[in-house]
Amino acid sequence: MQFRQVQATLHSWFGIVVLWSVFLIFFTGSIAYFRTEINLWSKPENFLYLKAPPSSLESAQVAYDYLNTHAPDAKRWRVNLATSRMPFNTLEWQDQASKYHKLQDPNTGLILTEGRESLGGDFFFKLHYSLYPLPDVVGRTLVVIVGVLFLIALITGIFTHKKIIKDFFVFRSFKGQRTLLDLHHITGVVTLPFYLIMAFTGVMIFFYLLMPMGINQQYGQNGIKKFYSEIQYSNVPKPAEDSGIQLKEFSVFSRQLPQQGSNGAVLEKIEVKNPNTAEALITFNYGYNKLITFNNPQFIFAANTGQNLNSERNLHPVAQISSATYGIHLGYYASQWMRGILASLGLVGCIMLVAGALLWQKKRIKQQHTLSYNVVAYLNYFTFLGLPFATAMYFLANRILTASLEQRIQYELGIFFISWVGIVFIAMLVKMQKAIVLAFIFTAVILWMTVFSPIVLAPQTFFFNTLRHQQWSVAGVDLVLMLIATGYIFACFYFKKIKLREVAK
Amino acid sequence: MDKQKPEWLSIQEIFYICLAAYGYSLWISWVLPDYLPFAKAENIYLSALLSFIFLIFYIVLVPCNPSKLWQKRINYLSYILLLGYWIIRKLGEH
Repeated sequence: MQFRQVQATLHSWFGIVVLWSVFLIFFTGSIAYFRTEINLWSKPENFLYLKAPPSSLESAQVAYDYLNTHAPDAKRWRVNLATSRMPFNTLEWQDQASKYHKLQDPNTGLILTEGRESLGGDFFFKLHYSLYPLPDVVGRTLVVIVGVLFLIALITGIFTHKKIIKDFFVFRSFKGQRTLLDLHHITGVVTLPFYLIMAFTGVMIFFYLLMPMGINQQYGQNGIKKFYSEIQYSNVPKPAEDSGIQLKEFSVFSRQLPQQGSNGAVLEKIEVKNPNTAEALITFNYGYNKLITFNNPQFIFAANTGQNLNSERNLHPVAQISSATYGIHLGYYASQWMRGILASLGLVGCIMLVAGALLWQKKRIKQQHTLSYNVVAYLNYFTFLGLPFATAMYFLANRILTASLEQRIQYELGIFFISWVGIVFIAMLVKMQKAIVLAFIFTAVILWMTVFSPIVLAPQTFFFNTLRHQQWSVAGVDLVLMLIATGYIFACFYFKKIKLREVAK
Repeated sequence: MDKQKPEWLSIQEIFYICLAAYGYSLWISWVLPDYLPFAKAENIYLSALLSFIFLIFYIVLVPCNPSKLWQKRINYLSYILLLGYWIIRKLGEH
């Protein structure tokens, strides 16, 4: 076998083995770029409180005072401060009994309690990296294995489709297999750097699951925390031994903090470890604006004395590579437009995967009555049409399930997974071509219903109202859902046109 | 004598190549931190990075070896290497 033939074989095998899981990972990853907006959109009861947030230091003061009053004995506080994307403080704290997660109006300090329970966009993020609701370690390990195999499929793909640059400028529509090949080439070339980088950084984030020997050998069985502490900081700050146990007032810290970090970003996060104990540490993190590493401006104080502890980041080149894998993959550096571009690249890559899978099917059309061919056909349908359909159902469930429903999150997840599996029955009951058209139409209709259901259920949260009140974050989600629904209708017409031409031939 | 090479690269062959590649990478990520010159955490990360790059190159290049027999020999070597190193370490602990 020639070198290129070997690469083509590897590309086909690795491609077909990981195709569906990669589609799931990239599809949910693309959505997860906007999880903050989806989180906001998924709690329409809070739209009433949507206002421009105060300065980040003022928001921080409000959150700090609340936690110091209501959770003085917690093990840890974490606060994501209100921004233009998410105009509420997100408070998280943990005590001996359980973990708490609340939204706070940064203008008044009011805790928003009437919001419906929903995982919102966080569900897609969890599904992306840990195949939630699988156990965390199992899910992450599967994702990292898929990532490695996908990376190999990408590299062998470069050798297989060797004329990719020339082929990039060729698209022959309505030509069956050639059309799919051209589409695979075009989308493949556009997304290749993005996919290479995302697959590589994704695998390196969870490298300890794939290659645990080094850490186990050097740090012992549970040494991951220590490893990360050393690779992030060359000098881990420790509080003074003779400090008291009472936290200092917030003004003690805010006086020592700049309005903006060295990269022009404002304060975004606060974390307090062991509040109201002798070991209390408070960390102020500024944003990642323009930074692809995790070396954002950071100030750490002994929370009981107000002494600046001057943490030192580990600036070794290897530590910087480690830090950059996180920064690049998570995209915290990205502006809203950049986030849109990254999500679009993820979705264009999904089209590459669909074209590749259909190409695999077309090449084996003579085996269409074999079991393996049918399994692939059903898996394609289940993944490429089922997952977007289930996602649309998840969004609709968020709107139509009553806000006060007990265990609401479980119902939302139940609807997502049942509708995902359920769509396969359509393909079993009717012919595949008809099933494809139906899946397109159902998904589009459900997305339209999601956007328009608030007219009846909660008119103040309807798209036109959020648009009129310039609530861009939530209006943007509705707008994108409508655009995708329209895209589905066009895709349906295009698919029917292809089939009509095939029949005419 | 080397067997005549069949034209088809089967999924079983690819699986064994992947397994061997993983074996080598695991071994590299295990051994290398002791020999790299940086701090402990950096050595671990760099060795994982290098072993990961090795894994990819192994899977891409080894199937191109025209001799199936040599492919098998190279694959088996990874199991021997990993097992041998583990046994030596275990013996060293006592």
